[in-house]
Amino acid sequence: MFESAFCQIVFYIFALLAAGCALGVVISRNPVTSAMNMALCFGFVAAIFFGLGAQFLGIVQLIVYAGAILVLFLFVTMMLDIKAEEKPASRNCWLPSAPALGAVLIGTVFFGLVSNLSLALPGAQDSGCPAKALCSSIGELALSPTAAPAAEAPAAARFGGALPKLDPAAAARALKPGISPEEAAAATSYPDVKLLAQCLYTRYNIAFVILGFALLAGTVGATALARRIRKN
Amino acid sequence: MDAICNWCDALLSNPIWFYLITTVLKLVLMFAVILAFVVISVWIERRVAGWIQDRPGPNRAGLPLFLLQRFGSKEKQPLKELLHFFGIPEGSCIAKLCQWLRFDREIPFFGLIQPCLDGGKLFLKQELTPSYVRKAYFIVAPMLVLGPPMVAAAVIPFASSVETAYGSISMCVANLGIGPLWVFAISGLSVYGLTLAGWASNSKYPFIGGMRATAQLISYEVAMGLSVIPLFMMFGTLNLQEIVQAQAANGWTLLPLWGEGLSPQRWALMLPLLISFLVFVTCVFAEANRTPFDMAECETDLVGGYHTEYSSMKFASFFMGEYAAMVIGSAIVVTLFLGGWSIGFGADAALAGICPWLAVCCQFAMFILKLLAFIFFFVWVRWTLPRFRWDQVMKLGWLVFLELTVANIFLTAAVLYFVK
Amino acid sequence: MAYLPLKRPKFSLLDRLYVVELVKGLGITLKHLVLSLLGKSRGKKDFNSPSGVGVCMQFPEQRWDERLPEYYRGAPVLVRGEDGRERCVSCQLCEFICPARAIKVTPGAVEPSASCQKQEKAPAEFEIDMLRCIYCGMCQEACPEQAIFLSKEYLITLTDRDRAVRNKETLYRLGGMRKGLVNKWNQYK
Repeated sequence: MFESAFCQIVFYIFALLAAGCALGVVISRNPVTSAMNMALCFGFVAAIFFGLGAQFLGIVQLIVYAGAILVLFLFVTMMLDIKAEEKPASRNCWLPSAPALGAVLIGTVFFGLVSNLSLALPGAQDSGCPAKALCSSIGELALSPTAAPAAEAPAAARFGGALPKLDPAAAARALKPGISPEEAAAATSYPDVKLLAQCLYTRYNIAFVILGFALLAGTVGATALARRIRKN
Repeated sequence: MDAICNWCDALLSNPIWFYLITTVLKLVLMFAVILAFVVISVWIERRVAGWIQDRPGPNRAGLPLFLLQRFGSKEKQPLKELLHFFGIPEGSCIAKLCQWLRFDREIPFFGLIQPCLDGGKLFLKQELTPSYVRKAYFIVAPMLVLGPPMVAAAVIPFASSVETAYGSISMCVANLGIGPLWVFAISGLSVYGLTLAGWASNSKYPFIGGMRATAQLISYEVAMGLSVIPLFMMFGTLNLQEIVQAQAANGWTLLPLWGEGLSPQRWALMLPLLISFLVFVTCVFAEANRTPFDMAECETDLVGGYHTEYSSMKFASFFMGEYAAMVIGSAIVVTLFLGGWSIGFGADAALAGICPWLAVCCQFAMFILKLLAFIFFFVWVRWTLPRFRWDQVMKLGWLVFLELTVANIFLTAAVLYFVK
Repeated sequence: MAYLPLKRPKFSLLDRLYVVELVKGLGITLKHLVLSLLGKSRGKKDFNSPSGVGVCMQFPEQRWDERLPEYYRGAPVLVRGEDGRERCVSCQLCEFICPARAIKVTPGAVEPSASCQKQEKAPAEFEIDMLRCIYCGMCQEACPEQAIFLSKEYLITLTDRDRAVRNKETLYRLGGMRKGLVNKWNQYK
């Protein structure tokens, strides 16, 4: 009880901080401040991952995004003329359309969240549920979660309306077939590295390899662009 | 008395309080060890530098008995003054003991007080913030350098686990399932400090220094991460405590002389493991910004590098951060390759059989000893090798180490698959 | 301009692997470390170092004074000739040449009681700021009168910035009398 409440509190604190930093990225005029805010945001997202027990994902978030990619971002932003960047932007003809675009964006995200989350809750598939009614009224507008509610229903029933809870014992039972119940119950850590690896290298193996090739192509392209071609 | 005992008993029986109390104790110990090691490694650096260059190094600062001369006569008899001060009669046992311990002269203590005095000096120096800097980042940068190594130390095990009446204590602050990755991730974050220091100083040399630090850290992080993969393939786990336990039972990574370490597969793995070791240690040098990779503060072309504009305690935090990174680097090398806390040759299990707490103490001592030895190695290399050129550093990182480590992973896989 | 192409040594594969050479280098430094800890560093006897480690001289207790070479450049001082005459004629060449601007000469007339009146001038005040002086010896080079010399004094420790400026009196006191100088004014007596 204590543990789960604690987890919830930590989750919401870091979620708020991450959202705040994300806002900072957009608001601040100084590009370096933006980059640092982004780094903080990545850090808080990693903290959320840690809180949810996905340690490996959290650490990869830190190593790859905060540790490497964002440092390269900083590298480039520091070369900019900060004084010129900090000046207020001149008005241009597209400015009036910004609030409308923003509203559309926020609305889309919010609707996606509502439909995704609320449809996964138990009882959401009943005809009397307002979420269901709302979604089905716009449901035909190609929103994928509403298109396949049947597949989501068992998962929703399993989670019982709360955040999915980590069960080290169940994981231990699933991973080691011959394990005794006592040993399984004593398992305290969740083998997230193993689960992630199994998921990536079996179910999504082809997609993973294709992604790798896509990145390789990007790298080769960047190198080709960056290389100076000698005339003679 | 009984009430206090009962209260403590009740407190410790609660698993949450037990966890909190032990964790705080371990944290305090870890911080104390690292801060002490930062200080000691500065001293080791200066002493060893001296010895290698045929000079004594800092050997003067000791217990300042000479201060006592000021109070009394001009004669050099600080011991008498001291004894008189405490009201100890001459000729008594204590006086004779003091005489025997040579307290009658100044006690240089091998110059061990020197780092404390250096620290005091840095505290008292004028804090100068140039007017043209970006204040906020200028102040934050040193903290960002000093902080990460301290946090990264959390996953390093310094002794085996102990079973107590209230539960088991694993002798590392956070027993994460992703130990080494945590160290890489967190120590990689210190690059922000260097970059920001270079940028916020608003001056050319620090800026170039910061840029160099960034490029170097990113380049070597790749090779560093890849170089330890053979190790994880061999141990089958990412938990540092489990890795060390495996080494205690089956021989250290580089010294497989007992347990299952004598199997042919283990010996066939020596080649890839040696390559891993060499690459990893070099990368640790590069990550800690130590010679021959201290491009970021290369005084021949960059004045002082990224901390040119810093003074007083802000400079000292950079300095300490660098040494803390060195300590953490040594600790992780010791943990992964040299057996961590394990005493070796089956002594761990034997000692644990006699008394678990004795085993823990011995293992802790062993860990400290290994750490000291590796810090000595760091210093030794510093005073042997000249600094590399910048293009050589980049070439080594991207063209040699990256390829070598990837090939090494395949080699390890082949050995694991074919040699049984 | 003619240039000579340098022939670079050809490295073998073993050399290029770097590891063997690295170990050799580590061996050399370790040898020095052990020898200096054992008190057997090269040149140890000449220095007679009481520290027991290395060849370093333990400075405040042990000094190098008697071995300083003749050409040692310490603090600049003013000297008197064998006849006790002030040699400085306050021509201010040293003041002009001083790259650190440490010297300040205030010219004045020769004292009526002096033995030789021909040079007409003598410094009313002569100051050298020891915080500025860089011990380069330019003043000594420039002096046409052999009046200013670099002494062997190297230990200038101050507790107060004001005391760093040495006046004429101090400089003459430190310089004392110097023998074997050319007395070119004697013929005009």
